[in-house]
Amino acid sequence: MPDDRSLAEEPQDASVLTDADLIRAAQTGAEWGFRILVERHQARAFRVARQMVPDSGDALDISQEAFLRVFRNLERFDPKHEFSTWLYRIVSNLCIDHLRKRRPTATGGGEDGDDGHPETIDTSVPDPSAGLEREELVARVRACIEALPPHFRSVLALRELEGLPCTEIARIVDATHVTVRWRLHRARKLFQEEWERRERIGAALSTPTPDAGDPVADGT
Amino acid sequence: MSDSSQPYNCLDFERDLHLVIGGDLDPQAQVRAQQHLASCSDCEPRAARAGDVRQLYFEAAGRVSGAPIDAWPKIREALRSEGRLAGVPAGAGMDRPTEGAQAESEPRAKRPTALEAAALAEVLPAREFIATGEGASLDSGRRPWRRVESRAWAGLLVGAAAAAAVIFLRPSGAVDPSPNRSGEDSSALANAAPQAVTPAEQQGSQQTNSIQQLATQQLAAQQPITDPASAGLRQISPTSSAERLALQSVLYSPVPAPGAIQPTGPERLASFSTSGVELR
Repeated sequence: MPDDRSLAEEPQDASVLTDADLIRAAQTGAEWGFRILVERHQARAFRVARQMVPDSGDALDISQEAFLRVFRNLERFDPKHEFSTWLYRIVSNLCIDHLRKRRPTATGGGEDGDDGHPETIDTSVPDPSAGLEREELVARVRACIEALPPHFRSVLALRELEGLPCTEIARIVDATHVTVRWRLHRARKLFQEEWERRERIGAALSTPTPDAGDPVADGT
Repeated sequence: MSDSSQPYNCLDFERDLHLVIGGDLDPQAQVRAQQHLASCSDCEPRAARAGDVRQLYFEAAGRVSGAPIDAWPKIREALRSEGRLAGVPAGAGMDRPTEGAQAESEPRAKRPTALEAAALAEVLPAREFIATGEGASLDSGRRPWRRVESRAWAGLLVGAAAAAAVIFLRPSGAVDPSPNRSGEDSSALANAAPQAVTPAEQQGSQQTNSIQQLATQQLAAQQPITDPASAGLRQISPTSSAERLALQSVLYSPVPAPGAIQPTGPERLASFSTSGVELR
């Protein structure tokens, strides 16, 4: 751990520093401490927010606001806890607040739930049609995610995407690990049910009915 | 999630299915569920389907990349504006400041000087200025009414001072040429004891008074006031018949201002020719 005198300057190899070291530097006002904390955690913070709110611009705003809230209260940080736990908790709460304030839509967030912001989907595939199919798949999955209650979305994202254990998620969402496991179970189940429901609807729409013949061909 | 003393059946597996596929059961329960899955042909496709959908979520949701834009520049700006960075004073670099910082950094509206306030009060008399709220468009500050009120008071004070100066300097019988000044103040000052003046001062005051009267007449001719109350003016209470006459001559003088241009000669004919005769 660097001493207070060395906190003023950014070390050449910051990768050896822990989050606690960076927080100590940030507590002294060292800009590099703030910056490296952001660089380390911004992708995950955005990813979690993105799974909870339908718009990528909102997700970015929320992740930035979460960092600012953490930085405004750095003096209250308990080094016994993980910085990421604190950050995820704020991201999750901000997302839930955002979804509560958001005007409810008739469909609860359909396949066009994203309102205009460019999505950052990895489309590095050689076949354009395959890219389109992949985008469509992503959109359908997103629609199913948006059908989930916010508390289920956060648990699902933290577990499936971030790979956090249930005990860690329990600290983030301020619940017991039993509650987290129940939410995880319900979230996976609801997601599958929603996916299968949409599959059935899609299959029904694509299947022509027997009496729906072409009137021109029938001569009528 | 199940009693280990009881046999583990398909109903137990269906209940634990969505935790089994993620390995989120207790280790002991996980082993029992895996053992059941290995021996049950009915539960195997259900578990495979749940696993496929979970994989779908992981791939599709995880395909959304990390932060598309580096969040640090905006966070840095906010930290700078709040003064949380060492060596940077609060308020520096406020591309997107917080609400409180924005309020502090908001450029303050220029407060009018006493002269500007007096001029403003003359352009728009105080009562109308306040009643109609037109001051809000003139002053984009955050508390326009307070500034409007201060301007009105400043206008009244300046008006009273001007009235006092005119009354002390004028000979008796003259009238305060500014009709929107406070009449009460003028009458109070007019009742004060007359002071001895030197001939030079008297001459100077007479010249000043004649200039003021001329200016007043010009103003009355250019902007005839039909109803002082509707224009937001306060009624003046003349203290003598001479003042009343002078006031009437000021407000209702039919004499045009001497500086007004009267068209004469060809210019006048050309201006008022309506007969269709073309003048050469």
